[in-house]
Amino acid sequence: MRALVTALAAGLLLAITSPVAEAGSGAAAISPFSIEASADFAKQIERDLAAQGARIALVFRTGRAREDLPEGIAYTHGAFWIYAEAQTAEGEIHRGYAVHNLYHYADERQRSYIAQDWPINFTQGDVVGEAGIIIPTPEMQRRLLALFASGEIAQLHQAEYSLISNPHDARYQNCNEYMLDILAAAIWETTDRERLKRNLAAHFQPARVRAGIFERMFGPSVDERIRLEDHRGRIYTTTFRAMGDFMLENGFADAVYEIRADHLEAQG
Amino acid sequence: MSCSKSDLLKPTLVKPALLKAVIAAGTALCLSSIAQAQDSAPATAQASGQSAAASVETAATLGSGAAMIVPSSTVLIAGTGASLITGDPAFAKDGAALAEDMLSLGFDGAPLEISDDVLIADDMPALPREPQ
Repeated sequence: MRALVTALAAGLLLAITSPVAEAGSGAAAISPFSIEASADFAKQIERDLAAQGARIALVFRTGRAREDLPEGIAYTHGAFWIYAEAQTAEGEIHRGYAVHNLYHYADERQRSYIAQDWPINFTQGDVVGEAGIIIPTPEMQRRLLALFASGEIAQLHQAEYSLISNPHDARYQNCNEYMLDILAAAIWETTDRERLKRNLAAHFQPARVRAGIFERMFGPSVDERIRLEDHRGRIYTTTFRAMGDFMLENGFADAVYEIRADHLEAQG
Repeated sequence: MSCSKSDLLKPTLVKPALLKAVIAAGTALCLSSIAQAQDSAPATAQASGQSAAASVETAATLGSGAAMIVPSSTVLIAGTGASLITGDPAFAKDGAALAEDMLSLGFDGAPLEISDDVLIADDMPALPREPQ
């Protein structure tokens, strides 16, 4: 019992004293980069996608330094970037990408919502100056856009949020699993999540999150977003690399790569 | 690429108390490190997700060395399903029609045009902001 209390105290202490770098719920910005650098990186990504004629792409960034992330996880957030035209009230046409995300609520962190924002919102959550990119094949782009256009993607949103949701289980969902479910819906042409989960269990290999028994025991006490009921045995979740491998190996992606912000080079 | 279903994807040892404490601490660090950043939105993003026709400001940033903000103006998010996603029926029809137009354009990989302006949500923090 004493050991248990000791361990719990240690875990809680760390949780309390760990760096306050929350990517978004507070007013403090998390980016270590200037707003100009974030804007430049956002535009760099947009131009990279546009040069390839990508009407929709999957883009990932990390709001946490790589050395602070578990092995095998390089990015902490992913979203769809969709080529769009925005018309200002003055009638000017802006051509670029709109970003479609799943976010958890700031005050109810086990629940999520879908939000559309802009590339700079995305890169302001980046702290390393790198982005992971998946360019779907033209046919996959067409199917994905058709899903967005139909509004059916709303059926693929599971509002019960878990930071390390199991992509083979429908109970919880995080941003990456939301993207995966949309990809799966485009592939199998259904929005029935239970059916999609069965197909994903058969064909999609998620990334393993290495955690021992004590980590499982104390993780939820550290952060309510860590929910483990959807895991049996080892913990698996959806990552940029797992999705990229899945799409490349099965002919659903033309390219999977990472780009580094030009502003990092400028800084030397 | 054919995406029909058929051609897809053939695809007890008792530890000392100290060790327990270390493991728990490591866990907290490991899991909380993911927890710090994933899926949480910048405050501006959370706000911008509330409306289908997002109110934005247009900022000229590239090459200027500083962000310049012009008075905010309301824009419609054309060419995406954004209005459908946020569920505002006032824009659903337009959004669907525009998406249909986009789908009819084809996907030949030809380069797309990108404007130099950067769209920023209304409630973005005051700019420019110093690096932390």
